[in-house]
Amino acid sequence: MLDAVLQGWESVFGRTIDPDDNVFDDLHAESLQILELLEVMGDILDVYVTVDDLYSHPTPRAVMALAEAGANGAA
Amino acid sequence: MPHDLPLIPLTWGQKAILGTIGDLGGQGRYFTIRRVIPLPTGDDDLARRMLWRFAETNESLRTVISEAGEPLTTQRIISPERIRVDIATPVDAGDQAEHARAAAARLAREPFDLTAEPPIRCSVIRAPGNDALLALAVSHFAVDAYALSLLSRWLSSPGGLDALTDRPPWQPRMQAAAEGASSSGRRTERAITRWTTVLADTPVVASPPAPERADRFVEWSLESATASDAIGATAERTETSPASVVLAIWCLALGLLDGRSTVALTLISGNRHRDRERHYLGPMAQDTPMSVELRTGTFDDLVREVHREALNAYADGRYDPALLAAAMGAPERTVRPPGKILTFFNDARSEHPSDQPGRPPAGLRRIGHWARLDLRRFLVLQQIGRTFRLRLLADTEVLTADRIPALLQAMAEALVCAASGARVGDLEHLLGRQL
Repeated sequence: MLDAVLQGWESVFGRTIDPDDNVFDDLHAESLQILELLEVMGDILDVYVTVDDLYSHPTPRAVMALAEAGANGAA
Repeated sequence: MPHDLPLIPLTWGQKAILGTIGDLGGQGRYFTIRRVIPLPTGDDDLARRMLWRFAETNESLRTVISEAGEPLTTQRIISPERIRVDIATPVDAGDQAEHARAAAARLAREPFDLTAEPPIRCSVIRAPGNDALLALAVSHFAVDAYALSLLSRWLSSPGGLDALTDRPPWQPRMQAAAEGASSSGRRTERAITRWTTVLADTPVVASPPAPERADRFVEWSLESATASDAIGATAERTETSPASVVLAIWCLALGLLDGRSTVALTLISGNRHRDRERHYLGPMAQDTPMSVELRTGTFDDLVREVHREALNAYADGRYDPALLAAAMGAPERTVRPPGKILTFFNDARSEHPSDQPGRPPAGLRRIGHWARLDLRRFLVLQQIGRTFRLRLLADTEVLTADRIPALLQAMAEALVCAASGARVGDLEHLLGRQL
């Protein structure tokens, strides 16, 4: 699943992504990239990832862990 | 040419704009757009075929709302040949542009009956030795502002017919199918939660009743190189965006104008987050509300907070307007929530104004006036090259006509002041002195 998440991030940022890349500090995501990333994560993980989730879980690995834990009560 | 297609659901973006049209009297008179676009041909038959070919590959231009069953739920994509394309008698080359503008005005005079005709009317204005001009009247039902910029660019593309033969990959029926997917219910649930929460904490104020005046709603714009540089500097320092910087100043100004420490407003969410949607010639924009508490502290911190709140609001800005309206107790057949926040912000940087990049900033100027709109205050951020343009449209029953340009200038000065790092209180003082 992590591979799929990484592919999703790579499709948004157009570069190779490390599981621990920080969406803000390392990738310097712009607003539209953040919104696109939420869409892509929704498709891949079938959960609702919020902007606030991304602030508190800013890496592919952390987002995946959040999804697996069923955060937000979404599934 | 294809025949009429089976009924399909209206898309959320189409429902959203229908709701706005309905709020303004149901006839759509206020949401008919006029345009004159150069066509890369002087041949009238070719011009007509180009338009039909263009509509064949862009179904938003050849759709009719179905009156069968529940209103406002279905549409039928019709044959492109049912789009009216008048071929005018040739005119002198020197008069061509003026004739084209007059033709567009004529086409736009009567409101569209979207249940009986496609949402575009055209007239080809030719002049000997010149390429043709295409005069258009387009209902907002077919295009939001982003799609309108696509339409203008595509139709006037120097590639001509060749550029139109690439079928855009995304069409209303695909969009409607995507919105019908099982995960879409979650989106609307999120939007319902957001609207309910924001409206619960917000005094909903309707536009004051007043006799209709031709100049009741007035719009000004401001372009300033200094303010543009300042916006960019603050956005870079706070690692946010120019729109969030402007939105933060807008929130401060609204707090002062309304005497409130919590500001609520409606964002226009363009909803073009995926590549397929960036080439989709149909409306996708929807309203999404947000609120911000204006705490004391640094302006940079406020910008960061506004940025995060706006991102959350945009993420919740894609929903089924009919279901939202129903959940919020709107009257039957309405696709707008019963409570509205009539103060807006639109980040329109991704649209493509026709102005030439590189020209000097236009400074402060009056854009125009309107008799009837469904808003109190509306701030738009556009980008022309490296320059940002602020457009402020307001109900003069809420903000007197002389205060509209004053507010724009005050915001520009506050933005310049904020670029070197400022506290919220300092900027409120600066804004308040001039309002």
